[in-house]
Amino acid sequence: MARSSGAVRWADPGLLILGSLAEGAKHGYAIVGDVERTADVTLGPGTLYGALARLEEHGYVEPLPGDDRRRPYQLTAKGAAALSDQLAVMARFARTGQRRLQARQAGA
Amino acid sequence: MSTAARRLAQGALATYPPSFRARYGAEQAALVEDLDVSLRTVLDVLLGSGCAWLRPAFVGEPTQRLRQRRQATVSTVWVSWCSVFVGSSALLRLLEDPPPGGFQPGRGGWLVLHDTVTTAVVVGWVLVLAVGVPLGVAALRRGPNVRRAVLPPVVALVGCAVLLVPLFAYAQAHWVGAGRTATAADVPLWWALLGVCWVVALGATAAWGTVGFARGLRMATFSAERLRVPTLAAAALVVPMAVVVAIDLSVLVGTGTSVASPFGVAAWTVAAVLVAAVVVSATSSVRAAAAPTAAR
Repeated sequence: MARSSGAVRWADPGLLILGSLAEGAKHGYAIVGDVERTADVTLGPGTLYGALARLEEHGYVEPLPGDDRRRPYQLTAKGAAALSDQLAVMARFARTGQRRLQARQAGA
Repeated sequence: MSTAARRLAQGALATYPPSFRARYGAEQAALVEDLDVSLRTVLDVLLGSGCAWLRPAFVGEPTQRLRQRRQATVSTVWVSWCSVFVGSSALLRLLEDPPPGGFQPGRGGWLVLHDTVTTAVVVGWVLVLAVGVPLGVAALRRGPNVRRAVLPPVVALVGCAVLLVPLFAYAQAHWVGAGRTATAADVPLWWALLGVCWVVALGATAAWGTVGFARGLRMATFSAERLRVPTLAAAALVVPMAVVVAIDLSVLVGTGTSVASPFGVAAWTVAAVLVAAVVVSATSSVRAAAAPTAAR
């Protein structure tokens, strides 16, 4: 359960995790903290590892050697491409939304 | 609240599928230790567990992933089949005893449904035994851990069969052999107590065997190729399972069992669990069949 403030949600846990790992390898707790800071979304342990398992299954992220209890994950090339595609769509959506809002404000 | 919630969350982690726990369990436990845990966290863990059971993720090399997927399918269908067998038997028994108005067990449409369920159950068990016994025997050779998981429920099942002997012998001598239904005066206290113990022991043994055999299969770590036939058999087993559950539902509707009564609530709850078992089994079988051919 990804918990975000506000009634309108955009947060897909997989996308948020990919976005966090774009900065560099992180373990679970670091991902939760980073997503909370950057996206104002709290990922619970069930949501986080459910999404991480799915991302790992699709080859978007991979674990790095480390402590079994705090294993870091890093973005793969495939994951980076998927993130880039999604961000491009979101950027286009954001630009369009901003333009429409500005037009609406100008018309008011 | 935080300490209690943390304990609940830690307990909830145990509800994940074994393959998920083996891969992510330690990391999840560490995260639960590090986070501020609330009841919302507990709910998140439980929902995550439900999703992991319904749609498991498999990681690693393609052959390893195929092996894990087939193993999960066989285990899932086995547990579902046992649930459907026990749940459906109990449901139909309760619906027939006493029979609802307008229904006469042993006659007409009721008899057809009864015979269809019996046939589906027999076909299902033949399939399970034909594939499961060789697999079980091969699993027993895989080491003491597998034997510890599989053999005790088998011994308990034999014990249940032995316990049935005096019950059956007494009933045969006093009312079954005479071709009549037992009255309260026919049943001595020891027989009633032993009967209750037998039902409880059988239920516990069934649950133990269901979980124990699935654990044994996981510990045996058969190859993807060795699990090919059991996976096909598991997919075939979904058919009799679906027939049984469809008849359960039709009987519930036909008898006008409504959720207005406590029995109706219990009956429909059992039916919902059985439907979920069939859906999960069918989904798992389809996913195993559609697993990447490159991995084979």
